[in-house]
This record gives sequence, structure tokens and C-alpha cells, in this order.
Amino acid sequence: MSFDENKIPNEDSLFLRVHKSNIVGNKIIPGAYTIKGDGGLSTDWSHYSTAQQSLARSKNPNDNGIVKFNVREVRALELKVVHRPLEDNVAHSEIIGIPVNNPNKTKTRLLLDQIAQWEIPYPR
Amino acid sequence: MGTLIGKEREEDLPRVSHWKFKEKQGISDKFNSRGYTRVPLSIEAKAYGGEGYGGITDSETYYVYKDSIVTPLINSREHSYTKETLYLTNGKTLRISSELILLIQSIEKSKYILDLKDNWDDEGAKAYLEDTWIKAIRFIVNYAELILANTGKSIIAPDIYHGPDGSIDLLWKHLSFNLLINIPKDNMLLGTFYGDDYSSQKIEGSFNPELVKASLFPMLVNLS
Repeated sequence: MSFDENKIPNEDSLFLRVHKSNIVGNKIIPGAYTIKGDGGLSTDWSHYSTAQQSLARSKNPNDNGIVKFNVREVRALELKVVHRPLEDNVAHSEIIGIPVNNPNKTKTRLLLDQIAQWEIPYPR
Repeated sequence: MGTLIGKEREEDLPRVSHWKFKEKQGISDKFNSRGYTRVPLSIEAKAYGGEGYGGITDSETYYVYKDSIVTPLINSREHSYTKETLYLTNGKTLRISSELILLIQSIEKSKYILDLKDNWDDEGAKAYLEDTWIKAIRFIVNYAELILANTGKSIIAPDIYHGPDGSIDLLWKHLSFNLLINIPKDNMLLGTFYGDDYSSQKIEGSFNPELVKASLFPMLVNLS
């Protein structure tokens, strides 16, 4: 299935859930920006979801925080942002192009860390 | 002439010399006139030999005299530091210079990684191997000791975190630069790094954590 890579405007935001295990001393660690499986980094598009709604969709909202990415800044890292709605989450979108192998994976994780901003911090 | 370290007679000098000298008045002119080039002792100097000399104080700067090869890099000073025992895990220890106190504190903080059990992220992540954590600690301690021995300065201490796929991350978020070093779980894989000055200057690549090169991460030498 193909997706329109330009559907999400540069001005919009993506919300990423960060589990408490990837937060050490109030800091998000670079390991938080790691893809699991074959897909991209799962986020929610701000057009369809607030940060609070995104948090509420996590397994345990009390164990997560939410960080925000500006879409333009993500694309500036030569990553793609696509809308991939799920049955139970129309906001679901992915950051794709994060390298699976090093050394580029190390680079991308640090660059994502540079542009991430707390939207709902953990711990609260 | 000045005091010659390691050889008693000038005629014993090899033509391409790797010998170290105390810098005393007069000796530079003498060797310059013989066609030698004086260069600061490089951080790889130990690989050239010259061990076993005595009478060196840490206030002196040492040089190698070479007639053709110029090795740039850092002035070397010989220091003697108090060592203390760093307790790792399961009775394993590491000797570390007490001057590296901030690094010791970072290492102590990172022991939380060893407490992460299977499914620590609620998504099925595996526990971290003790050997991977120790490999990362040995790397950064060896690097810090190398820099300390050659410059007399402690490196800026990293934050040490659990990384992806059982790896360990070493992270520096400094005012003037940020750097991420990743030490993989798999011993067949190289360590990797990326860093920048939050602007246009960047470094990235891979390295063998077992073969530490002091010149790899020059930004970590605290010049203040």
C-alpha cells in the first residue's frame, strides 16, 4: 500500500509516546527513538489527535510521557512522514527512513533527540 | 647540553629518533642543527617506545625529535595518579584514576541498566547483558585514562544509558557539542558515533572499542 508522503503539512506536529523506561532523570534517552519491527516510528498526527488523546491511547498512560516533533524538522533530517491510519487510531502516522543499521541509526537517534520537545512530561 | 632521557651518549641516537627528551636550554638548537625536527610528543608516543626512563616531573613538556616524520596532536606529560578500585558487578573490578571522579559517578549511575529485567519496556524488550555494559565501561575508562595520561586532563563525563537492541549508549550533551557513542551487544560489530556542534561541524563513523585511539573524540578533552 502506498501513502502520500506530502499529505501531512510541514506546519503540523507529531506526538510520540515515550515510556518511563526511556526517561532517566527527567531526560529522554536516545534509545527512545528506536523503531521496533519493520515499520517506522509510530506517532500521532496533531490534525486528528491532541497530545492528551495520544497519551490516553498508551497501554498505561501513567507510565508514559508525550514528546512533540515539528514535521518540517523531521523532514529536514531526510526522514519521511506518512499518515497510516489504523482501525482504532485515525491519527496514526509514521516517521520512516530511520536506518536499521549503524552508524546511521546512531546519527538519526541523536538528531531526533535534538528536535524533540516535551508536550506532556514524565514524570508529571 | 640538556639531560637526555633513555640514552647516555648522543651518538647512540638513531637517525629517525623516537627518543624523548627533557626540554632544557640548548638541546633544541643542537638537534635542529643536525636536521632533526622537534615535534610535540604525540599521543601515540608510547607505541614508539621510550619507556623506562626516570626523573620526569609532570611540569615538563616532552618532545620527540624526528628528521622527517611530523606527528601532530597533543603535548604529552607524564603524570602519576592515584588509582582506586571501581566495583563493576559480580565481583568484577576495574582500576581507575581518582581524578576521573565525574566519570566514576556516571558509571555508578549507569548500573541501573543491569537491573532492567526482561520486558522492561512493557513491549517485550530483553534484559541487558552484563558483558555489554562492562565492554562499554572498559571502553570509556580506557579512553579517559589515555587522555588523562597524555594531557593531564579529565574527559567530560558522559551519561550512560541503555540503547537499542541490547547496546549501550554514551551521551554527551554539552553546551558546545553533543555526541552519541553506541557500543553494540554483538562483539563482531563496531562501535558507532555521531556528534555535532549543533551547527555545521559534524563527526560520525565507527570504531573498535577494544582499540582506543585518543584522537578519535577530541571534543571530549575539557580545555577549560
